[in-house]
Amino acid sequence: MNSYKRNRIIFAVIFVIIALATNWPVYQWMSGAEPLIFGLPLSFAWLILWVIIGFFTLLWLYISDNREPEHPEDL
Amino acid sequence: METTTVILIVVSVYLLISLMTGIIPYLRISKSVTGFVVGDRNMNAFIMYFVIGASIFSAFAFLGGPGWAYSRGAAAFYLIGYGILGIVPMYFLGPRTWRLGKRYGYVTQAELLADRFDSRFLSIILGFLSVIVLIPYLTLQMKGAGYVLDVISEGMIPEWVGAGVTYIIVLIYVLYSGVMGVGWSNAFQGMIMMVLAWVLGLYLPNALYGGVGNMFSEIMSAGHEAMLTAPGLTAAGDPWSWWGYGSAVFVSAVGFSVWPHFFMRSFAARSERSLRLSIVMYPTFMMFLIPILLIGFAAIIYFPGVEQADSILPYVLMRLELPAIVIGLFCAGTLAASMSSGDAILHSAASVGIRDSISKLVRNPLTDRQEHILMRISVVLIGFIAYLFAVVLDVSLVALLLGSYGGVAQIFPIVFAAFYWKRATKAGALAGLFGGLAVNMIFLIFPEMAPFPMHEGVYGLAANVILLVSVSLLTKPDAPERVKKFTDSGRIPE
Repeated sequence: MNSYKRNRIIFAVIFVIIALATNWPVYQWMSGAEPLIFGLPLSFAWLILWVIIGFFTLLWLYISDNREPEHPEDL
Repeated sequence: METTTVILIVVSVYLLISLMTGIIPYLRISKSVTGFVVGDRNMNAFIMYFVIGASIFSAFAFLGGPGWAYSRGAAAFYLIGYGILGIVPMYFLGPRTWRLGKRYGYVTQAELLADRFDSRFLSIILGFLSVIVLIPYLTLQMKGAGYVLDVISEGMIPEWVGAGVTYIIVLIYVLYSGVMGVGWSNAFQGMIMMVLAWVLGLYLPNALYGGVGNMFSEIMSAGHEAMLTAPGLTAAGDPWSWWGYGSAVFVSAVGFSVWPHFFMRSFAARSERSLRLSIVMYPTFMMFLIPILLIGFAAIIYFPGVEQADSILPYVLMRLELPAIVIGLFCAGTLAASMSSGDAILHSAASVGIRDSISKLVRNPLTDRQEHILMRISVVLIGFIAYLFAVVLDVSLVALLLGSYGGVAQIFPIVFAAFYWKRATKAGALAGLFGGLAVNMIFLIFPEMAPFPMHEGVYGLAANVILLVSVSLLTKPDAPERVKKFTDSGRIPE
């Protein structure tokens, strides 16, 4: 398996984790108002955390895609 | 100087700069359909970034976002939840769309799908449906602009004047520069929106409560803890169920990337790399929802009982002793949010209506010049119809718009199948799309029939996928050489 394909599988796994974390069922365990994190309710801060994780995951995929311009097939 | 004068000056300067940034690209684009609809496929990542960000966040985000946080608390977090999921398919679908567009000359979504599934009917129907969905969307943007100017000027600028003046500016630069006008003006408008949101969103909690943390502590000690607990409240004020929240996020995330006016922007990118970069950077634009929601939360304790939650932002601003220039800038921010979506919608509705529907209905093929002219005529026509809706009719457009999300999401399975599933057939695609739309519509009108309290779009999508798969498998495969050019669109062209 080339690194291009491997990266996409890793990305898909992280994407599923993000989807579960920001929605039912995982989000319901982090849905409380307290504690306040950087002044924001837990329910709010939790989602922002995952937006940041999502951003860096996309950025990583973009950088690794560009490093390998010769990939045979794009998914 | 009098407050209103200062506000008017700020707003006028904003409108003037919008007009200029929108018209300048006219000098550079070709005077053709490709120039008008996809900017000669030459949009760089910087402009694309703002087109993607600013066309999504409309007047609805600027007014409705704080409104939701104010009246329904954590329910508003759903805007954040679906944004980060919804952008991801674009990263994969976008470049394929772009490559096919470059090679085969597509400029719209329906054009691509109609070619894959060999169906003129699909193109015509999708074109009409897009226009039907986009017109109320545009009306909503006009109403937002008119409303804010009316409230802030304390009635000096009635809604019909505010909406009219704002959208004449939009009309001019869309007519002249097409999508590049949309792009350049969105870059300016997007910056205004972001700066204003952050300034106001941090200023209000600090001025009223002495900080964001204090604000949330006070909201909790005032007995509103349930509001801050996800998934927040329903419009009626009861706790929202995870069924409702979860399915709303799901349907919105699925529909996100296939909104016709959003999807077709992939065609405009200069290169795959610039398209991908602008998509990757989208979450940084999305972060401006944080201050937007803080504005709504800030009003909960100080301004209780405002019936029309969507008016909470102008309501608060009018009651604080703010310098006139700040209020003027806020007006400019809301207009920017309204115009940056409105221009994209107007441009797409006109392009799609002509390219996908009208040109497929006439007997003789239209020349490029005729099509270009017709598109510009329909810009005026669609703008005028939306404006009539905005000032004359008083129908609940928000309900209509929210209802359309489930419908738009039904396009996703066939877009996905077009690229990734060889065996998808014309009959399967048509059955899936129309079956999905019908089921979505039934549960939208009769929500009590639904077995679970989920968004109607989920049922539509279930029916859609089942029909798409089963009918495709039961019918003869589509012509392999045609299918191949779509499923192989991931390959780098030689």
